[in-house]
Amino acid sequence: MKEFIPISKAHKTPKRSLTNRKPLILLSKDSSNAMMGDVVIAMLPLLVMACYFYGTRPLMVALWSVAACKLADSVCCLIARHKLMLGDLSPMVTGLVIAMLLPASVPYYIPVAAGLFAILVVKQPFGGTGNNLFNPAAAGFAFAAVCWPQTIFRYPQPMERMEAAGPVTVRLLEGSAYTLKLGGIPSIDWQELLLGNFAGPMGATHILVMATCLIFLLARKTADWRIPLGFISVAAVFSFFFARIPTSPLNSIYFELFSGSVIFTAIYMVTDPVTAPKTGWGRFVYGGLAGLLTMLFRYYGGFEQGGMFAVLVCNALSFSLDRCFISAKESVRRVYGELVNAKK
Amino acid sequence: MISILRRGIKPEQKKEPALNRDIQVFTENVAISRLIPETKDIDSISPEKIIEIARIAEIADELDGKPLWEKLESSRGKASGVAADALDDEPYLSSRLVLILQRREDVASGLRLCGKALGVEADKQFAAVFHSLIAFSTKIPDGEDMRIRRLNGKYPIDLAEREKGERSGVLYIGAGAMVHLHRAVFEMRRQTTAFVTLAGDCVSAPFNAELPLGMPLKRALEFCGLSEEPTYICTNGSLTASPVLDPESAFVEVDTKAILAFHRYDHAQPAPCIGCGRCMEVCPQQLPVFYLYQASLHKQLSLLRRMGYERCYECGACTYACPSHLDLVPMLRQGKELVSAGLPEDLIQQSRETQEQPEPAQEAEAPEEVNAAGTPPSEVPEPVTVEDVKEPVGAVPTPESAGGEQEPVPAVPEEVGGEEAEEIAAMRETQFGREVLSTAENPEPEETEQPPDKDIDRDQMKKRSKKRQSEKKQSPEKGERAASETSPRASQKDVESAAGAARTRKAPARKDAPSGGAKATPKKAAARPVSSRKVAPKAPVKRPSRGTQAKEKQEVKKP
Repeated sequence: MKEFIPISKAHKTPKRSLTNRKPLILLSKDSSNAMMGDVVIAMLPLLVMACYFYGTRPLMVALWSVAACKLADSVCCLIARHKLMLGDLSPMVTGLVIAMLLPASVPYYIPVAAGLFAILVVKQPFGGTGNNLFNPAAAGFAFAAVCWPQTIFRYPQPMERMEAAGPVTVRLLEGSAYTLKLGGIPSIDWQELLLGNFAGPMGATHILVMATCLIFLLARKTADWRIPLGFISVAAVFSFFFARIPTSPLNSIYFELFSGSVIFTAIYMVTDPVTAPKTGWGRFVYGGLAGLLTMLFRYYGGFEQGGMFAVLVCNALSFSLDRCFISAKESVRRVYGELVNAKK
Repeated sequence: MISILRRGIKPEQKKEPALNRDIQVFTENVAISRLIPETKDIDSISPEKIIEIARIAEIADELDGKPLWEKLESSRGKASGVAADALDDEPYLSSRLVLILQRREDVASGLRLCGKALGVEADKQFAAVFHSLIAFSTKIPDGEDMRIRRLNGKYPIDLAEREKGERSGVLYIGAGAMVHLHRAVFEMRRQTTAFVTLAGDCVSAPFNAELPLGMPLKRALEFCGLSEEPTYICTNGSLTASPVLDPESAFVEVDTKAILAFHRYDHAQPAPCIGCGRCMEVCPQQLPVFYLYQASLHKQLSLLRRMGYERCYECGACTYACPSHLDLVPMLRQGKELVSAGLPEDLIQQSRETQEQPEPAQEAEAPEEVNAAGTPPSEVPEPVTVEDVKEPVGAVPTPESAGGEQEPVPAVPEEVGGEEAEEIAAMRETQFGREVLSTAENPEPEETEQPPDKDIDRDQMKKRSKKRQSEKKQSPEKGERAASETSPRASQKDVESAAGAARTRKAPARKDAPSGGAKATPKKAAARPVSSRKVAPKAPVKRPSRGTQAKEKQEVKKP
């Protein structure tokens, strides 16, 4: 059963005896690799926008990140004697998520280091694809944030194109999240904010494009709708009631959600199926808790962004959330059954 | 019914070519039973007679393989409705639906008979059909002879509906059993066939057929003609499929609803579980399938017990929905077996009681995870001896374990010869023999309201059938007498009689023989039609036990 025969070679294999593995015609047409592929597809428009704003350098950053992750994953599979699946797209997802959160001007050793940390420390020691407890992309970015905070949170201006090779010579600015942390209002027009035409992470500023990708992921059922809903609604409510900038609460929601990587975290990081809870209500609570913690980390934490740490904390809680709701359902069912029996 | 919000899956139905073709009958031989009296119309028979005829004709409900008469008997007076189940909600299956299309009068008549047997009025009898047909109301009109109820929803509809039916009192019986009941009452035929769909990739022209019970699957597939060499053969459904690895040794049984053969090479490749949770979304019982799967995989009994593993009825929706194409149902089944085999019932009860003590939940959690056997270390576990365990889970009660409550067996009448008397005495002491004797001694009390039957006396019929059985036992080699017996059933009786004879010869081996038959506990209920004795369904005679008993038969033949 451990043989790996890709479909392209299937016609050349000799006829086999009867097996008890179901043929694909009796199963759903989905595949877990296709789900990962959906996430990759949903991040490619962001890469395109980043290349539009920042030149060819974002492409190189993404390539370095993805290559480091994929190579590390494959080496670990060989060491651990797992089946080496070269078509496995989950390290690509990790690499792309890490890349999208970094500034386009980041030196290449940072995404490589973050990717290696993500795979070698957070994903593979726990068992590889499908068995990780913590979101490797969030952990990789958190590692980079802790090790190189100055470099990670300085962004270039958009429309100043950078080359893939060579030193970075553009001016780097603080992000809008930093402005918020200081208590100021970022001076960005609302159209620019939606289009992503401001200094920020390479792939996390393009709000409209991300909204479209969210719709794509929801339609494909790769991302469960409860998680982003919980995340964004709790973050919005929190920034409505506890605005830290001197503006109207609605404006506060606007600025808080669209600066930094809140929306990106909600769509790509929290919805990772491996680390999220599996029950419906568990997912609501998980998303809401992650949103709350993100806002708290942003307000009171040491860094201007808190999404990655909030995701890691909530990953630790996802099994407990599931178990809580499963036991609740079982007790309700038992009580209902006893009531029905008592009536009889 | 808001079917969008119901849980389940919507696979493609793929019934079309088979559904529109006529039912192909494999053989024109019919099996007339001499015991069933001729009946002209439904008003002249009483409900008890219908049930008795169902018992003689050995009709089994193809939905679960249980004998029809048992179902009718146990629901008499309690059922608030009866339904001919033509739901066929799995892809490729259409063997019951086609009966509504092509044998509608037979199904309607059988439905009326069931209704009469159960005491259900005509307006509570209906046929249940899944909604997935085009031009439904022209093909299957709701008529005077039989009302049709169309059920909407997603895939595991028949089991969910039937469960709901059980709660509301409606008895669901397969449409094939209805046809067989009609034939038994009005044409005096025993049930010797099953309605089977033959379909799949390898079958270029799929159709529904009426195949004799006991036909090897290989022969059935040759009957329909395969266009390719199959790599996957399954019976009983497509989503709840039982794969068949050796089609020569697998047979058509009463609950075989389909034989499907596929040849596509792109079999499901094993991919890791990514925890997407789709299995949990589609489970009709709202079970935490992901956790059940992981717990079964890693054998964490304490986790399994708390999640409702026993409610899984193996519909296969989770296996269909899994994007990694994991085989979830076998693993869930393994989990169920782990739990039932891992702990004796009283230890489970003890650990449950200590869990419900007023302790904080985390404290009761951690020590339990530590102890893999599942007993909380808060109480010192006493060694469990065999006497403590009252009833080993999963074992069929044998006379030896019944605890010595056996009454003395009545003596064999003198007119029987010496050697046969020994055999008969030996057989009477077995479980079978006792039950036959007890039913013969204590016939069921007749209803005082109904007038006594003039044509059939139940005791007389029982004596006749018992005499016929004992006659057959006395001549085991001439077992193939009436054309009304199909070969596997005859050979089963031969084998039993030979085993009975062997038991007298090998007295010390007697302890092994009954438990040897009892050990082969089936995973399903009886797949064979049960003969007219009230016994627990025995394991279907599969190759291993047949081999050992055939060996005994050969040893008997030698001297």
